[in-house]
Formats: sequence, structure tokens, C-alpha cells
Amino acid sequence: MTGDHQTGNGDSAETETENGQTSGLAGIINSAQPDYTKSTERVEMTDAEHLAQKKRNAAIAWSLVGFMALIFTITVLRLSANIAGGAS
Amino acid sequence: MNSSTQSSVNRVEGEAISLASPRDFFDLMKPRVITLVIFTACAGLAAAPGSADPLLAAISILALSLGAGAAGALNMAYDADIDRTMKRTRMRPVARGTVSVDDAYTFGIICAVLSVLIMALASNYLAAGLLAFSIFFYGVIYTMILKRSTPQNIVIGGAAGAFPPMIGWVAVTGEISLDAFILFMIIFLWTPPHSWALALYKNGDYQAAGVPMMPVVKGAKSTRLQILLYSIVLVLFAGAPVLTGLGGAIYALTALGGGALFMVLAIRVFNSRAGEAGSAEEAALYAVRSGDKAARDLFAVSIGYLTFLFAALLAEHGFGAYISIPGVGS
Repeated sequence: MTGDHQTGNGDSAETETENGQTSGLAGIINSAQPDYTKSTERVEMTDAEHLAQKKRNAAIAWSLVGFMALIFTITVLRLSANIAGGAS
Repeated sequence: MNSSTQSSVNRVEGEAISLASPRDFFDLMKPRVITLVIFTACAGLAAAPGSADPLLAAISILALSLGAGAAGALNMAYDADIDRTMKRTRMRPVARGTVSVDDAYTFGIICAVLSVLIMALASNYLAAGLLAFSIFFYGVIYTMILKRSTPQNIVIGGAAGAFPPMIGWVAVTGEISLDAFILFMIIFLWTPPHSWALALYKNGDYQAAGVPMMPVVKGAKSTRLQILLYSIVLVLFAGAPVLTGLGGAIYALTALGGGALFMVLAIRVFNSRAGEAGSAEEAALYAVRSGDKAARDLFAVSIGYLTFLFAALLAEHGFGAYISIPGVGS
């Protein structure tokens, strides 16, 4: 019975609407796909775009290094405090 | 042939590649606001009883600054439409189109998550929770709900800016005490007269943007009265740290002198015609028409007033300048 019920839902989930789009579950899956009808082209970046991108990349890299250093520092300080607390 | 033009990317038709620099993302964080956040948080941290590892305390302040920056970025992302119409804010990165709205949201959310994570690791979960709540309060409750719906926007929203000293305090003690609440309340009560003074002389800007600030909705006269009333409550309440012993002689003198000046200026605003002449012609923060000068002065002095109050606490608790007042305090 349960299986029949689920099948019924599945059938209704894949009905095609008047404008040719699939509704229900299949429609949701389709809408999650990239829109390949939009044209993409490989374009050259301008000097300004390239420079801006380089600067952003460098900033992200430095931020990651800073974040790692921060976490390392916190870990060492916390561990030291715990060891000192345990020893006393 | 220039080698720097050799890079190529897949680009959807009509989609621009960002020209935003790291500086634009830094500007998204409202650095001027962050300086006040850092300052008040340091005061809260120094005034709190007990001690914290100096490096961990500094990291906590860094986390708080990052959180404040995150809230600023979320605010700028959501308010880009308003910012574009206001002279004071039209050069903000999202408003002028240097940083996209999506990028600003992404940046804000990443900074928010990292700031809370760092705060939790460097101090305690209560401080991290308060930081998360304050970011949410400013970025969502104030920016997305209150700001465009009620003239009480900055009264309620002012709570977001009042959290930093409390978070600094909690980072050390791990609990919210009466003194931490007093520090919170000082900034909470300071926000309305400070913001409404600005709103009075930038009235036209807010009106054009459709932001229901008090002068826009209730008029300049009513706003001037409310500035005066809030100023009285603020100046009186600023004495509370003296009663609990949190503030010593230096704080008491600062609160007394600063409070007197604040009241004089608030009365001048009340007696002036500030807000009735329309907005300032210039885009600069302190540029005003002559009728609005009293409001501009109060706005400027209010920043100094808060700074000096917290500087006094910082000097007393961070640099050993505390002199107790006989017969007062706990």
C-alpha cells in the first residue's frame, strides 16, 4: 500500500507543464543544474582586473596564514595554562 | 605583449569581473566604528575583576573587531540601496558598485563565523555567544527589520553597539555582572542623543532615502526634546559606576565635567532650530548649515564624551590610576 502511494506521488512529481518545464521533484533537480543555454566565453582579463584579482588572492593568502598563526598561538597558550594549572 | 593580460577566465555574458581591492573589503568593515568598539571593549576588559593572559585578551579584542566588521559588512550589503541615495554614504564600496552585494554578504558571514570561533577559543563560550548575538542583532534585527520600520530603530538597535564592553568584561570573568550591565547601559543610553543629533543635521538625506529616523517621522522639535530627555538620563546614569566602585575619582571627574558639557550642548540643541533647515549641502560628516550647528556640535562632543568616560575606566583599571572615593562604592 505504502509503495503504491509513493509511486503515485512519483508520477505526479514528473508531470510536464504547459510551457514545457517539468514540475515537482524533477523540476527541482533540473533547476539546480547550471544553465547551459547562457553563453560562456573565455575572455582576456584587463590589466586592472588581473591586478585586483592578484591583490585579493594575496590578501586571502595572508589572512589564512594569519588565521593559522592565531589558532596555533591560542592552542599553545591554552595548553601552557592547562599544564601550569595541572602542575600547581 | 603585456604578460599580465594573458590570464583568461570563463565569464558568463554580461558578467563583470570584480575590481574590488582588499582595501574595499576593509572599508566594508566600517573601520571608524571598529576603533570605538576596540576602545570600549578594552575598557571593559581592563575593568573586569581577575586577570587574563595578555595575548589571549588581545586575540579576544581582535575577534570582537572582526565581528564588528562582519556586522558592518552585512549592514552595507543590505543597505546598498539606501547608501546610494545618501550623500554621507554614497561612496561606500557596495553603494558605489566596487564590491557586489553577494560578495559583501559572503565576506560578512565568513568574518562573523571566524570571529565567533576565535572568541570561543581565546576566551569562553559566553563571550562568543554574546558576540554572535550582537552580530545577529546588528546585521539582522537592526539592519533588516528595525531600521526601515520604526523611528525607534536606533533606540533598540543601539543595543548592538553596547555589547563590546560587556563582551570584553565577560571574556575575562566568564559571567555577566552588574558592572558589565552598567557599561552596556551607558552606551545604550548614549546612542539615541548621538544618532539623533546626526539625524537632525542630515535630515534631508534620511528623508530622501526613506529611512524613518526620528526627525523624519516625528519632526525636528520632538527629536530635540527627546535628545534632551535622553541626555539627562544618560548623564545621570553615567554616575552609576561611581556608586558601585567601578569608577574611581578620575572617572567621577570625567563623568561630571563631560556630563555638564553634554547637557549644555543638549540644551543648546533643544533651543535651536536644528533639523528644520533641511539637510546639509555638503557630503562631509561635519558639514552643516548654520541652523544645524548645535546638533553637529553635540554629535561631535558625544563621541568625545563616550571616549573620555571609557578612557577614564581604562586609565584607572589598566594603568593603576584608580583612586577610590571615600564613602562611595562597594
